[in-house]
Amino acid sequence: MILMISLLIALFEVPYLRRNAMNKEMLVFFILLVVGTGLSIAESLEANIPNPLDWITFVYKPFSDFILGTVE
Amino acid sequence: MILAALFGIGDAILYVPSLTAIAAKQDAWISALIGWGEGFLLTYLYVSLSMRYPNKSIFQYSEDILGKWLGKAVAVLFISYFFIDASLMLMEIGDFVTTQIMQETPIEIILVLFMVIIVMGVRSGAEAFSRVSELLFPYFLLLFTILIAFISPQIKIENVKPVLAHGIAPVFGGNFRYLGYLLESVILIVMFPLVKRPARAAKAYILGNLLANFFLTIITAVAILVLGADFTVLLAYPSYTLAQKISIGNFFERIEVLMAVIWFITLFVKITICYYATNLGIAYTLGLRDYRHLTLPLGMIMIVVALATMPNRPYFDSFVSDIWMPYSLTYGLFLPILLLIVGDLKKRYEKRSEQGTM
Repeated sequence: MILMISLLIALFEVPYLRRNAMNKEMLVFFILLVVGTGLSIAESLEANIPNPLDWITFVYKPFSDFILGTVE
Repeated sequence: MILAALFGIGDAILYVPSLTAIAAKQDAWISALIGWGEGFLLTYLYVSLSMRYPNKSIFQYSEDILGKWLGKAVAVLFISYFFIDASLMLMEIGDFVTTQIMQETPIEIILVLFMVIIVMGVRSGAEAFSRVSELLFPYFLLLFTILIAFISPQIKIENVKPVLAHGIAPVFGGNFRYLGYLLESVILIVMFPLVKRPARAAKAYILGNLLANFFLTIITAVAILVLGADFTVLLAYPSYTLAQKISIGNFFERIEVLMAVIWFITLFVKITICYYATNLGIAYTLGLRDYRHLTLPLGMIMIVVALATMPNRPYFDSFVSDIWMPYSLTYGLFLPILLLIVGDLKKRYEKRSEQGTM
């Protein structure tokens, strides 16, 4: 199902990109498509996908404690 | 202006009442009121930054100001911020629909459907979705007025008393959380170079932000007045509950799904802008000619990221109330100020060295 969707997306975009010889665009497009497909399959298999919010929380936690500590 | 207003209202209309009430309790409306001043100052900062570099996007002039690699790093940081914000909001709409309206539908279906609409909006270009937002605005205004008008019989003034019972500090605690949402308007900076007349755009930017603040203050005040502070804190979507409570003569009631259209409109506008900014940023930074080809594969990634970012509701709540504001502060305040100051110093330095050679 997911592979079918990615195939459709590729079919939709590739002819236009090829006609205009946008090689760099093509490369970026395929990198994103492969990452997207991989992530979607991982999600459907219920694999553990890292949560970007955890990283943000890790970086900003001390700062947040400081700011909210000033008012509470 | 309407784009800016709808953007500012965005997802905030769903969350702001309970977020500000966490700290400020019955004084939450004062927290929102302070937001007017902050919103004005912030948009003024963004406008003065973009006016200095007309016809250039933030991704371009950050390279001009900070040099090639540092500028690109800043651009990548901004893109990550836009992307995270967009996927968070996508998750918000999925969560809202599955918990409040359609409880049996799997969340993935709603995310995919909404994502398709957003991708369509982004692919049709900035002008098209600005016009759409202008078309949608009257409906938003109408629905919002109906909501406020029909809930007003249930307002109880006792709910806001005592005013400032715990001093001014908790009010700022609520205000900080509100500020997290105001800072998101930095994303509109991306739209700025696309406008033909910068002076008018600047005015629209500031006015739109003030308008958004106006609506948010009203909804916060009404939520507190009708539901009371303690109840507002406990609810996930206070403004939706507000709509559920509408009952005129035991006949005119259960119109909350109609009201949900309000947030569909505002969230659609906001996510579309965020997503547009992400795509545009990637295209600029990598030197691509067109951003449209990135929209579909990036949309796939965004759905998965949206699912991954909200493992459960309490996690998300604590993130939004504690981490979001400092995180936004980095992008909404520190980076623009840094760009402004460094750009200024560089200009002055260049002028001096020119005079020196003459």
